[in-house]
Amino acid sequence: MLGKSKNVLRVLSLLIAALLMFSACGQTTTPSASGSEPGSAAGSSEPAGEPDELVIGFWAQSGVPTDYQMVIDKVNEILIRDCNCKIVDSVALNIGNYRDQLTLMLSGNEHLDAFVAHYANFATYVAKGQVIELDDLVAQYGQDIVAAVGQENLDAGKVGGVQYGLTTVRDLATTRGFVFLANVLDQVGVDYSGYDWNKKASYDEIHDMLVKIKDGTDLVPMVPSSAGQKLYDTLADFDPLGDANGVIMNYGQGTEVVNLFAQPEYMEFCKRMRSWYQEGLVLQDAVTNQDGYADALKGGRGASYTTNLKPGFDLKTSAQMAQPCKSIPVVDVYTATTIVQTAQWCIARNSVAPEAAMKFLNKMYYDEEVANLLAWGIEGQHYQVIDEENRIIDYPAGVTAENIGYNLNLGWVFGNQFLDYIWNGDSPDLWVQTDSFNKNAMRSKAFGYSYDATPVKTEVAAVTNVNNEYRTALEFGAVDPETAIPEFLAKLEAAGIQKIVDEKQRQLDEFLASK
Amino acid sequence: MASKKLKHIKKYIPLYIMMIPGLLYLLINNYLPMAGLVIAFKDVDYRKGIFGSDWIGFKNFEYLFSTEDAWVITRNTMGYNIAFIIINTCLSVFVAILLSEMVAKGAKRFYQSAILLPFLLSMVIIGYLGNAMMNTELGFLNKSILPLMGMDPVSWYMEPKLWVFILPIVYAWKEVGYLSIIYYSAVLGIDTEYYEAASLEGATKLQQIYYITVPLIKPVIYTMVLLSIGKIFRSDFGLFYHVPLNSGTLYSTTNVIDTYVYRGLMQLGDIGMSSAAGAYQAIVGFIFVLISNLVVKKTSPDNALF
Amino acid sequence: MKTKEYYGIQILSHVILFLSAAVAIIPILILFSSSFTEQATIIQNGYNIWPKKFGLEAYEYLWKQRDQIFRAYGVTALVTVIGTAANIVVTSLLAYPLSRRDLPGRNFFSFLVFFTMLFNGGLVPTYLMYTEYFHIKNTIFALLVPTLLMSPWYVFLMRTNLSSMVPDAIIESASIDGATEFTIFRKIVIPMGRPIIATVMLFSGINYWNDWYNGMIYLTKAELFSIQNLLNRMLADIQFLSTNAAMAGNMGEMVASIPGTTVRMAIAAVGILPIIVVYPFVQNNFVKGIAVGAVKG
Repeated sequence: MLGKSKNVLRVLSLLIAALLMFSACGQTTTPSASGSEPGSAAGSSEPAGEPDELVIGFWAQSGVPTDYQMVIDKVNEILIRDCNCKIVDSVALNIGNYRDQLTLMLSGNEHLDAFVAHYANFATYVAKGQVIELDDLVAQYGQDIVAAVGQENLDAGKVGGVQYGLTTVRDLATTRGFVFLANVLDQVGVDYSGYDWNKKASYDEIHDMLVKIKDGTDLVPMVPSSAGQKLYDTLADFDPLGDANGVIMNYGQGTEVVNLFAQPEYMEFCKRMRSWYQEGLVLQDAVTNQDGYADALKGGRGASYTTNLKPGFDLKTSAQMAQPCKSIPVVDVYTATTIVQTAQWCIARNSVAPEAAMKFLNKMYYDEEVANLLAWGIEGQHYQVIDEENRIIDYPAGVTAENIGYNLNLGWVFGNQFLDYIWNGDSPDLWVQTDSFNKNAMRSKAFGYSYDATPVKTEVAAVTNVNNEYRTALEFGAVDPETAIPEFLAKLEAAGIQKIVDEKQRQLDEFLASK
Repeated sequence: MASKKLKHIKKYIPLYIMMIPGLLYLLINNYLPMAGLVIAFKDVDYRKGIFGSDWIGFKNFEYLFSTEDAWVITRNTMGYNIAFIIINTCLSVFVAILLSEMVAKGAKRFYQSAILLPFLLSMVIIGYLGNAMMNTELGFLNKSILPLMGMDPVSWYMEPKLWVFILPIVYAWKEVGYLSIIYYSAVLGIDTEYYEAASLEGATKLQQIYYITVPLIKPVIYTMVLLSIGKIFRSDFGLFYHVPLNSGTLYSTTNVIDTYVYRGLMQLGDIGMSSAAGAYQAIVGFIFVLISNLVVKKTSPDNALF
Repeated sequence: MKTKEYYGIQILSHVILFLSAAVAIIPILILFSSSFTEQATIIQNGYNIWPKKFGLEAYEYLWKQRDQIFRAYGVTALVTVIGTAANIVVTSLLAYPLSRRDLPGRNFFSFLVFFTMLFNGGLVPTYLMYTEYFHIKNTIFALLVPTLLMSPWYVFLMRTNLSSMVPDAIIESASIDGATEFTIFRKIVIPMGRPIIATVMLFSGINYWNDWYNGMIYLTKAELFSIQNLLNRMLADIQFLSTNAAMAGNMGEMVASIPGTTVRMAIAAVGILPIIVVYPFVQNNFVKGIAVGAVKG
């Protein structure tokens, strides 16, 4: 095995040295396109007529679908014709790694133009100067975006009065509640008709349903939705102002920022969950549970879970679970900055063609063809229209969920979802419902305010650790709130939560004064 | 005089040439990026670029010291590392010696392969396996083993005190197989003449092990321990995060500096603060190693790292 | 002369090592068994050493993605072979001179190596350097070069082993006989250092095989994903969605499509299976290598 001659050794060492040398022949810091055509250093200094080259970024659940390039080619035909630009590369990663990769790309000079930012990172990108100001670009090239989104919702993407992010058009409000397997409810004799987002249930009503399930079946009445879930965030009826450390209670209808965990509502919530837990209505392993709700429900273990809700939810979920589901809200419909910021398009600092990027974004928001290409794929190949009038589509002949070549299902990310066709199975007036849902939602008084955590970052780091230590167990009722909450509050004090609350209040007051 | 020294060094030039690829790699992989340590002291604004950003002194380090948790995570980090070094070194040396004494070749290969296997698993998977054992309702322990012994089920993931034992056990399970290979190859490197001479003089096996084997693998033990001391402020992230299934209730005994930093920065994404944490861990580890190295230099100079 | 002591030690070794092997293997059996069952069974009955109800749904799920998985295997294997070879060359070329006590500046260079084990510029500077100056992003070099090409830890390990295993006397007499340093290295050091060389090759091979970190940072194109990369991406998704699902409206759909525990176990199994299969053969050479090295002439 090791009886090689010295020649091989020498060759290998030379090879390695050569490799290092060779790759060291790289250039300096001019923007370089990642993985695109050789020799392309795209820039708007190119002769007019040559389309600007764009790199876009978005998250994809399971990576890039097989027919992705085909779809992008079709999109490019339109873009070249109308905006003199084309998409040459995409950073489409699974969501778990998307954020880290974006952070890295935004710290250097790699070519990246427009990308989708999740709310958790948006504030940091702005604070660190990683995304550019959009006001002028929107004024010049993005007027259709304003028309589609509405100035009020666009405000959620402003920081310090400057536009940095453009939210997509989708469900821009939310309600929250429980999702039950309808068959189980029928089995134990629960009447669930009449509940929807105009008529929510009280916690007591839910409690009775859960008790009936416990008595009438072997199922665990309520399971966690995901590992490490913070239940009170899922069922929030407050405006989290970014990270729940300092919130505005009552759907944001006031302007006072308070420590959520010191409120009587919090103690009440935890006490209620504690008694539910002790009655056996909640999965006993809720704190360390590693299974998602889908596995628990499909696997015949659980009967309900909690999540945030929107129009069309029942139909969608029933399809996913392959059995009928019924959602029952327990809070009112409301909206806050955080909810709108779930998906926003930003333009990176490293963009070489910001005008072209904005033109592309604008196109996505008003051009039906582009929107549907990106959302559903190519007509005839990935979908077929089965009801022209109601704009309903379904799989083409011979294509199923398994073999379809384009399955991004990111209509809510690609611009204006209201332009999209509706998939067979969803309600035909889904967009109408959603629009009405958005418009009738309670709007938090702090809407449009984005909080900058930099002044209190030390405290945030400490408080986050304390949160993680207590919240999941408290909010599932796995520990006794009478003893745990005082401990929790004391630790929060020591970690500096008051400083965070005060800072948020200060920034909020500034924001409100400037409106 | 100068020319004599030069001639003396000239003789070693081939050796210096041999070191070039390795040193070049260190330059590229480690020393060039080290300039980035300044990030720990800056408030990075990408509009100004990393080097053009403002200095903010030690602000990025504050969160490591400002809370009562600071004591807990420091104690946990160091405490566990010391325990790991002692336990794992003893166990792996012991196993290595047993392996070397075993005569049955087939059995020896089987055992060696078997104990190496846990090392190949990632900590996330080990976390799931842990869940398979310690899950309150469905776990192997609570469902099958404890009832056999007539004991009540235990809420494993809710009792911080248990983890002081669970974590070293899991870590030993993972690492001992791998570490024992290192010591095993060291044992094999011992000249058999020593043993022959010893048994001729009537030494028992145990005496041979005590007076020959252990002392002769001491250099390797010293190296491993000193290198580990350098990491005394770092932890195996997966062990402290994934294996306890990120359960908040266990933080008092499972939160270490690395997990604290990770959790604290998840929403902030502040690279200055994470760089500060790295620098802090490096400096402390560095001081410890310098001291230990000096001590070793005094007692058995051959075994010092540098 | 087979004394009682001899038997005593043999029995003791067998007992202890058998128990250790059992403790090591049982959880791994649980791993495999939970991949050969249905998700529903696990949710209801928990984990066992032998599947309560046999099921192939996890592997069916993987089979659908076999193109990507086979490709990942290929990439991982290629990277492991090239990487291990490169690693051992670079490591031993650095470790041997450091093992020579008479080398001027030995302590200085050792310190240079050691320093890099503690102090690190951090992810962003390293990333920027590799991506912008060396352009390794989305190339195979991204899996070969960063961090894994040479580990200071193994350099020190080899240095120590070579010092004790290769006596100064032999080196001196060879050089008196007129041998060059390169010849000494090739003809004396390498053969005598077989055990540690084999050990380091084994470890660096495992490190290359198991690495997911480099892929996570430097790869955005799926063509170059390694097996561990695939698993890690799946787990990262789970992690992300579980901590953010509450606030995010539409992510709920994504949460439903995440593979359950059986599939995760299956991917882990698929990841370590090749090592389990290949290792006995490697071990053949390994043990031979070690044994040969142990015989002094």
